[in-house]
Amino acid sequence: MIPVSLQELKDHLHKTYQLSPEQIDRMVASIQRALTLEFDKAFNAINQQDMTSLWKASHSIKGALMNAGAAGWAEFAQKIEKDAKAGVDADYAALLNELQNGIRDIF
Amino acid sequence: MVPSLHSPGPQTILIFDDDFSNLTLLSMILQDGSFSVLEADHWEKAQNLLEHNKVDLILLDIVLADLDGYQICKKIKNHQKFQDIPVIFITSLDEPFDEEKGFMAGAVDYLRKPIHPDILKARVITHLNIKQQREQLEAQNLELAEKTLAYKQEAQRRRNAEEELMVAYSSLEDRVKERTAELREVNQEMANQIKRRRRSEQALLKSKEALTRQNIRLEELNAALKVLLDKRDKDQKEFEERIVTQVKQLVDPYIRKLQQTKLNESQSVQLDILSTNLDEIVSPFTRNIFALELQLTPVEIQIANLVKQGKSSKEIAELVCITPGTVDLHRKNIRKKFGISNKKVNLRTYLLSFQN
Repeated sequence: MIPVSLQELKDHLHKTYQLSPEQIDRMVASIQRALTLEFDKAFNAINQQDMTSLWKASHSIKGALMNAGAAGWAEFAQKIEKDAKAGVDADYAALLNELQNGIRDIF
Repeated sequence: MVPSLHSPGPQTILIFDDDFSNLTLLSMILQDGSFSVLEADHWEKAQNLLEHNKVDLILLDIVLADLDGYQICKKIKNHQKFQDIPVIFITSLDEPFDEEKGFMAGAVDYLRKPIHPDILKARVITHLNIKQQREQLEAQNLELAEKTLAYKQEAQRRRNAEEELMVAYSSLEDRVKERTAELREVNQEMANQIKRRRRSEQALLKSKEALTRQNIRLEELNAALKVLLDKRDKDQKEFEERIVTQVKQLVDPYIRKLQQTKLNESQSVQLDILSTNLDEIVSPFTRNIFALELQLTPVEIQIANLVKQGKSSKEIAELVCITPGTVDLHRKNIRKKFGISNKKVNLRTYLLSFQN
């Protein structure tokens, strides 16, 4: 899957939500903050084998990526969310790493 | 196209989401002048904002760290103060079951991510307008209920007044009936009185007419009687004058001639008796003539005759049973009526001169 660029994010925020450059900057910072927080929660959940916290964090990551216009990566996050919610045994750390790597440009 | 907001002032929207990017994005979309935005990322903060602000609508995420959106929504809907605030779920959950659960929790709408700004605004404005209309309807219902209550009270008051009026009317009718009966009796009595009075008036009128006729007849009789009496008085006077005249002219001269002749004592006595008797016969007529002419009273006539017979005042007083003073008073009146007052004329001689 093609990684998401920061410019694509800004274009999306401008095009979809008619945000001003200042608002776009604030929104980008907010998305970055949210993603940072939720990835931390997700990795902590994996370490603690807390599947509920994992699917919730994945759900929040999915939402942030939806807002960011990263539909493909949002679906990826949704798969992690659903699997975690369903208790599917998977390498969630690897999946999260792959996701994080795909959207690293917007961090 | 986004519908227009009916409310005049900005509406306050509480965004409840623990995702900073969602909070920021939703705030940016809605903060365009029509809305005032409050943000909360956990229940305590949301509750505090609800307590201290007039929140018109809540945008609520479902997947939250502690309580989920369904539970939050139920708390809001069970809260007496907040239960009328419409709640719209905004989530990236995409199962129909989740949406159904959201509505079961009391939400008015359910929006899935990704967010489309115009759809979000349209939904928000639509539900704010619905809320405003509902509030208007509730106010109208309240007003209507108050009016209905007032109307019912007024209707009850009128019913009571009508009942009182009916009672009063019934009482009045009874009084009118009684009064009418009394008036009828009084009228009947008055009519009877009028009839009696008319009959009395007619009888009086007839009596008056009869009296008038009788009066006229009496006046006529009086007039006739007066004429007859006048005629009788005149005839009597003429008769007396004729008797006196005839005695003086046809009898007296011959008696005087006889008295101047030589008569024996017996003849002389008889002649005197004849002369005296004749005087006695004629004297009442003469007296009447005098009395009528001089208007002497009966007592004066009596006294005048006694004077003429040569009686003194003392003797006359004894005969008439009055005092001598009274006799003297009558003698003065007689002299006055004969026009010989203050004259040296003897009353007896004067009276005898009439006899001769």
